[in-house]
Amino acid sequence: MIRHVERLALYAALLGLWELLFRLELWPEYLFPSPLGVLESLLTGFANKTFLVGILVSMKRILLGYGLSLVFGVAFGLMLASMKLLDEFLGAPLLGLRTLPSICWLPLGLLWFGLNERAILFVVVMGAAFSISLATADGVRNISPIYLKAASTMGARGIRKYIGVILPGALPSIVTGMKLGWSFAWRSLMAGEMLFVSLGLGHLLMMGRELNDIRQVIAVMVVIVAIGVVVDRLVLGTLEERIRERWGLENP
Amino acid sequence: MELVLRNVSKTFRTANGPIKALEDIDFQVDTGEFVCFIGPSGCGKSTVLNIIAGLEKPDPHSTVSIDGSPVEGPGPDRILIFQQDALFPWLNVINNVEFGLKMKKFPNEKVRPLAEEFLRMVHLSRFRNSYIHELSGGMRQRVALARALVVNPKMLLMDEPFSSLDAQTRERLLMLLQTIWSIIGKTIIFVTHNIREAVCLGDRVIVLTASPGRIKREFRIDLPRPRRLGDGRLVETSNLIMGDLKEEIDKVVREEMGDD
Repeated sequence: MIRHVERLALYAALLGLWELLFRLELWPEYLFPSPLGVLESLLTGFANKTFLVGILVSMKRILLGYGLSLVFGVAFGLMLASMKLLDEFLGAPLLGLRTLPSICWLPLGLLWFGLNERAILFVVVMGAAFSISLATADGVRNISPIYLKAASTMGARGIRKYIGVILPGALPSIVTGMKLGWSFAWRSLMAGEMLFVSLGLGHLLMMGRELNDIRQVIAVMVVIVAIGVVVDRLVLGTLEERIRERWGLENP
Repeated sequence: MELVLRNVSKTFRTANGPIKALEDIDFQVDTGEFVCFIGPSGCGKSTVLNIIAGLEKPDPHSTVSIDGSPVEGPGPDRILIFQQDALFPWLNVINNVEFGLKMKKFPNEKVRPLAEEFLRMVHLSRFRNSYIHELSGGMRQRVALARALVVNPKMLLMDEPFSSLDAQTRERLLMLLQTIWSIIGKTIIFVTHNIREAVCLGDRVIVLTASPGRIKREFRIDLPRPRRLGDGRLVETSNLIMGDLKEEIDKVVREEMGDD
């Protein structure tokens, strides 16, 4: 309880310092806005619904893209883990591709799909799917052999074995991959939206720049951070914690 | 006559060349018999169980058969119970017990009542909705027992199931296992490194030698049941077997120390 209070006090102090710097008028207002100005821009943005539309458009894209990469990523990860040959051929190149910043897929997406939604979807999927499939494959390989032995003596085979034992056994690792995949997907979506796609939060950010409205720029950044943190910590973080606890794993 | 092993050997290929874990194991177990294997660690006790379970293949000339038909792979007629942590943590207690039934495609409406019945047998009905991480070690092994028995196997293969439990819990589980065995009358093959535990449970106790594992001697235990670990005659019998086993343990120690 005390820690929450202390933390709030610290945030308040930081905001105070920001306001103080603003009052000192070291920089012109169009380069260094006040926190109140940003708050005002945030409120106007929500009041005239531009932010709401931006959030909705971006969320729709991320849900679709992230959902697709979850499906493809897990399916591909299971294949990697169960086919040794595939893993030997593709394991190393996949690790390499994961280090490619996902926005680097954009030119390819643009050439393949043109200047449209499908190009941005492609970038989001490529950004998240590699982490998810590598984590899935890793999770399957690290399932305690005793679970597999127990399952096979009880007659688990084929698809039932996958659904009943292998997927749940790999779940802690899959969720970790989902967290990583989420941060890649969210970043690449914002980058993609800034570069060309209309509407969406990334686009609002660029619009702020074009209008020379630094308060809007920072307000949109706040919204982007907020969404990223809420999904990472509250949604995926809680899920990860619950799973690790139930699976009897210590929390990282 | 139910389970027959003839000339069963097992060689593991390792980086340092082949290692013979088992050599010419020969024995048979009758239906409903309780047989315990003891031996020093590394003597291949668990390998015998894994071979019977069909999880490992013995060397080519070996034969393992149940009621006359050869063992080809794992099957729900032989359920293995492990030392620990073989329950699925993503399922609650009752779903763990139901797992084998669902894999056998048992009719849905019969699954739950049957699972409840076996959970009652191990006195864990109250914990049907708990998750595995909420249970003590002894409770987990009771769930494992229920999960194994519910699929109605021909035999139970138990691989040091009580060795990570504290003394009191182990004593209580030894009683429970004897009670359950006297009711259901299944064949049980039980592997342990604890002589008293073996004498407490087995109709026969088979002593294995150290690497490679061979059958050194077999003892028939005719003490009245249920048996308790502290019982005088049980301790006497255990000491007798201990003499035999100690030779083997010393051999292992000598080998492990003498190699360097």
